Amino acid sequence: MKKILIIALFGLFSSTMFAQDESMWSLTYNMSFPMGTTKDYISKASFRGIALDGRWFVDNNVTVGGSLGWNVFYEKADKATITRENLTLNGTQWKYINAVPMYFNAAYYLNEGSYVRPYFAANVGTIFTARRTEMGMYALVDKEWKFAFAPEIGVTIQTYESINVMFNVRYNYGLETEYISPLSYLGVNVGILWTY
Amino acid sequence: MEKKIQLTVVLVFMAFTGMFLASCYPTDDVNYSDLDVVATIYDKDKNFQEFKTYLVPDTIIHIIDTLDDNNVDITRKFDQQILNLVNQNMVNYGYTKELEPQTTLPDVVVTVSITATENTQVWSWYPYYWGWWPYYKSTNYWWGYYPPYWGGGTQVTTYTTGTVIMNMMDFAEHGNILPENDSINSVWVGAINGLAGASTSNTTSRIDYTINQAFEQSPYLDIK
Repeated sequence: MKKILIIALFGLFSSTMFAQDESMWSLTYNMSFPMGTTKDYISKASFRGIALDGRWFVDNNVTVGGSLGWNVFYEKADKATITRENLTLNGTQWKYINAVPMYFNAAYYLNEGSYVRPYFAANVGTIFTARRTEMGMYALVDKEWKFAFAPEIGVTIQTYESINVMFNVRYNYGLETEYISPLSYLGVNVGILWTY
Repeated sequence: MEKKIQLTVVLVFMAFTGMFLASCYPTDDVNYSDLDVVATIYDKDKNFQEFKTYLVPDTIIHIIDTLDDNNVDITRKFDQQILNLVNQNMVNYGYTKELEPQTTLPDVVVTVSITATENTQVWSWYPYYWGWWPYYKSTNYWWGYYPPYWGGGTQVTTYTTGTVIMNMMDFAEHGNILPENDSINSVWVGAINGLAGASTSNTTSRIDYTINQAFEQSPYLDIK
């Protein structure tokens, strides 16, 4: 216990990380939990997700950058019934959302000079959203670009040499478009981080 | 050190990419019944309470395109089962079967027809694997590039889809006019579309479910 505490303190107050680095790249595995109207369509959490993120330091605590991600949501609904006006359809549905968020971001990092740096960030950009509902031998497909934003909190941890890990939680929100209701999901992301 | 990190990144990236190539549209096992669709549509301005008697003609119309070489022969094996189900559902909703249709026209006539189509689909796929850079730890050496495995291909499959159409026509309004001089309105249509070719027992249970479902999802037909 004492050892862990010492390591933790060492981690918090030692000073190597980011001091001399100019940019920071991360590749994360994403788990996504649908919320709001997205949850009404697909309630199952997504465990297929990936994101690449690049950030440049403008001073020791602030970065600006961008990211590209991909999240796949899927759910099968057995013998579901949908009604539109005087038309009713019944059948097994396969429902998919392929979401590709592309963001510009800005982040502020705490604990300057420490191995462990919590941060908060704001993401603004677009989510390319492809929604596909298959029923019987037919499919209904909508593809739209949604204006999107995503607040984010996270932490970067330096482990050894220059291999680092990062963990963050990001709430993604894509505004309503003509055919697809607002896209809303909580991303829990974990990955590796490297600096140059 | 730098190379090691790059390797990690490349490996992780390849693992992720491989995972995604196979999972853009993931799916589970699909049964014949999973592909059945029941569609119903009705005349919203019609008050079905006006109807009392019905008739289901005792023959199912098989709609066949005689000009098409790819004609699909439709079996009559399931005709009686379908007719029985339609009759049963009409009675359950409170309609009375018209026993003397020659002298007294029923309020509604429900015709049943079947059509089938053979479809051809061409599948093409791209190679999954596009090269590999093996890494030897002992010598810290990147071995030569292995060329991609060219595994793409094309496959052609055919499948037959069948559609059962139940058409409820309003004879109460048009009963006194000769049908050949006037159009008769459909007030309700139920269509069942699915894949043909399942076993007899499987097809029997799919027909049971889908015909009953067509009526179940149309509660406005209930005149009890």
